[in-house]
Amino acid sequence: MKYIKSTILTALTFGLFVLCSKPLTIGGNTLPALGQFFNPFEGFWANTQESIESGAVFNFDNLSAEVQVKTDERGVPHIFAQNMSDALFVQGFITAKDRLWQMEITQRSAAGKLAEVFGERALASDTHNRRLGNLHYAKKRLVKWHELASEESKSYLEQYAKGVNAYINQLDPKDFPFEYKLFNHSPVEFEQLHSTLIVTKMAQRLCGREEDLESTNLLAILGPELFQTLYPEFDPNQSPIIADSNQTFYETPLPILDEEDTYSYQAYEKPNPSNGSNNWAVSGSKTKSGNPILCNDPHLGMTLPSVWYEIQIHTPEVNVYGVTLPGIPGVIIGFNEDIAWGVTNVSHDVTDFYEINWLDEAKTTYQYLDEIKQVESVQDTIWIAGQDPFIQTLKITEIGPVMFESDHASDQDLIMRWLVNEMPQTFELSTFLDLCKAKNYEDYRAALRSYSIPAQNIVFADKHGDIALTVTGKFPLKEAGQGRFIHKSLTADNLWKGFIPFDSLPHAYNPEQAFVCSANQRSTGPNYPFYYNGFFDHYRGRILNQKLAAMDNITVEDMKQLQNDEESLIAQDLLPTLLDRLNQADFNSAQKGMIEHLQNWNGYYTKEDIAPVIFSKWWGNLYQLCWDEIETLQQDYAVNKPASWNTIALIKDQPTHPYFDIMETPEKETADELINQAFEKTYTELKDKINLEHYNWGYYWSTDIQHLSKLPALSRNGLEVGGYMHALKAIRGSHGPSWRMIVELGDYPKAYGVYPGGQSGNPASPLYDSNLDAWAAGEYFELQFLKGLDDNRFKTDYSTLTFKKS
Amino acid sequence: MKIILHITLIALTLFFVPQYTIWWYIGPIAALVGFFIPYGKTFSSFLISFLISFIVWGISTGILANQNDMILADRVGNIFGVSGFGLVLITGLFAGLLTGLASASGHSLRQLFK
Repeated sequence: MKYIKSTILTALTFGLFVLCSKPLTIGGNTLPALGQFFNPFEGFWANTQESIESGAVFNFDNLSAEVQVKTDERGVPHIFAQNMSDALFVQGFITAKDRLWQMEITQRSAAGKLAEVFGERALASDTHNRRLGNLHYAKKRLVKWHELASEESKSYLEQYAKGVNAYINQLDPKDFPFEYKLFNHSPVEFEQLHSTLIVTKMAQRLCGREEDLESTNLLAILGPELFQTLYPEFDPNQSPIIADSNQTFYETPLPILDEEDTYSYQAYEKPNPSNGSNNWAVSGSKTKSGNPILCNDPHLGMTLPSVWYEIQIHTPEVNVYGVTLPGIPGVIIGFNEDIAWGVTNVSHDVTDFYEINWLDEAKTTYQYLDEIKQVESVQDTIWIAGQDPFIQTLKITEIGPVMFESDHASDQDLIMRWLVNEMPQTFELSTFLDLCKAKNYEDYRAALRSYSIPAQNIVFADKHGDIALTVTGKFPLKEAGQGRFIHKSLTADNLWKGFIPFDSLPHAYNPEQAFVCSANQRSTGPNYPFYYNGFFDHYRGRILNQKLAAMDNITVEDMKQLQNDEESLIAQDLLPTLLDRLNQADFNSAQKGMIEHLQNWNGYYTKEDIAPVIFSKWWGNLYQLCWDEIETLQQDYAVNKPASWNTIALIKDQPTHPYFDIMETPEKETADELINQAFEKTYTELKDKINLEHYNWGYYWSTDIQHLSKLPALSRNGLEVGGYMHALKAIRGSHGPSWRMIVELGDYPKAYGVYPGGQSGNPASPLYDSNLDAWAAGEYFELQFLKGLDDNRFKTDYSTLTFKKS
Repeated sequence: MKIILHITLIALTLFFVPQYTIWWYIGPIAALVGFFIPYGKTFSSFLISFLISFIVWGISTGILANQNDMILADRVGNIFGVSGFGLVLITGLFAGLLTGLASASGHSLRQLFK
């Protein structure tokens, strides 16, 4: 008996200890090794303790002089150094202290190395990112940067990485950021390549959109006439960034395709269309104080930790404040004592596809213009946590990777030429490093010359009263219409013919209207001599131009309100038509009530209001009913539905277009019938909810600020904030204003800012989400732009760190 | 006297071993304590080690959680579907169960030599 008891007890104990010593996979989710995870002294509990206390002193031989860091109550570090090289070393160290895990996950995501941490569920994303060539080209890009950068700027990148590693090297495993413990991995050394990959990741988000495959399929199936009606290139109502007096755009000619020219590939996941931004600058002549004011709010995926990290860098030559991406040295959006700058995305289409002409069955050689070229085959190994690695072969050609390979028709294999994979001609990061020290308009223009990807509308204002905006970046020189569809062959004619010269880029400097602005709309009016296509906003740009033109005596308060403005022109464009064509004869009181809400609505997507819910659902249902034909096509082909703006134009101008007929019914429907049916559907969906007290726009359109792992416990979900993707307060799902900044220039700038998160990436820290409630309420913090170490204007009890040269 | 020695050794093990060496060394050490300093029956050995370990890890984490205003405890508790305080208890129970079993195993092995 006692033998049995003893054996059972010992086996049970041994089994339990073994079980708790290894990570467990339950239902596809990996749990950390529980014993170490719960260990109060080394596991996650240890993350409740700050590993670096205020007053700490560090010694590093990478420094040339002492560096002081004062951190304010929001966790913003203010770095005081004797030169930029020392400052960036400390920036790397401090950023790692707050955001190490985020930096690693971001670079891993770009490189296609997530499955190493998260296992098989990340494999699809890794495989795609590797096929895009991210890792392959980032390595080449870094080599090129080293060739092109001055000794000084090269040292910046190096010092930043060294700073990150100095932090990693002094870390005791018990102080590893919480997520390393949760997901069972350890920090990897930070390389300069990781900074390059983080640039690639941003470029992928911002200039990775294309629809060549989808458009080619559509044109081949629908024919040019119908395609032109449903998918025109130019919105006549748009309000370009650099407008012309004339607004007549001419559609570019379409290639002739027939049904055999379709492709059976599945489209890959494209970047979120809500990646965009607003920025503007107003001249002193329009402001109450007489000083220019510059504003910027980039709309990106809003996550915890936040995409942005706030910082001030002070040296004898430079005093700059702003935000950067963890992993990138310097400041990307910000201001110094003389100037301020901000960015919005340009969204030109910078991806083209070409059918490859293979010269052998094994697909090793291909025709490139007059030459026979060997394809570069890369055996690409993707490591997967807890599993055997996945190996794929990448085929790299002269102009980019083979992105699509057909298993039945090798003549349909497609090469992808993507601007991000082109080798740079300048050290691209020097733009932001130069802007940090720019003093005037000339310095700003000089800084932009080295910029290439992802193209940005860079707005500028300075204390001398100048304002400007430049559509900045590398843009391929193309024939009219080039790059909208897949090229059937690769010829000298359809390759890019260089890039638009910097001095020919669209640009405004102190315009008569006394403001410059951009919101991801088309860059230029019809007179601009260079062709480009892309993915442009149709509502925010228009309303921004209208509102700024109407404003005068502007104050910072006005600018805060404008960044939080919830009005959208889509309601103005569409609602009167909908109401006009709705047959209300037999409506019951509840239906009449809904109509009344809409009639009284001012077009603002305010969280307390119910009208935007009714309108948004009505419009959504209508859009769905309009494009049943395209939905049917989507079962066999990669195709996209027509744009919202054009759907609205067709409903208004061509209500009897055959595409408004619903295919599965015998009747011939028109747009008007669809409007009525869509309303009926909306009524059925809403009738039981509409009178519930909590049911309003805020509830319906709530936003989730998710942790990068999407774990709800580390996220702040269900925030009711209002706004709409087509309003200046551009919120949609987890996308929206990821940083709001307002800078009033003058003798010494006064600035305000907020982002939906907090400086610390540690979920144990009160600073993990400490800015979030202010952001949700549309409030701002005054940014503590310190004049020097002894500046006490903000009456803050700063914590301090000292970095000494050893 | 034995009980005091048993309690002291288990408490010191639970406090120092996970800080300075590998956490699962508490298993073999608790088993040795159960073997060489047996207290009462096997179940008593389990219970006393369970309680002491529960208290040492429970209090240690309770202090950490409290200093941190329960911010992390609540977040991690949420992952496991419990409150922050629940997570402190779970941490204590976790240590108690493992150490208790190890100590009982040691105790039961000693019985074989009687």
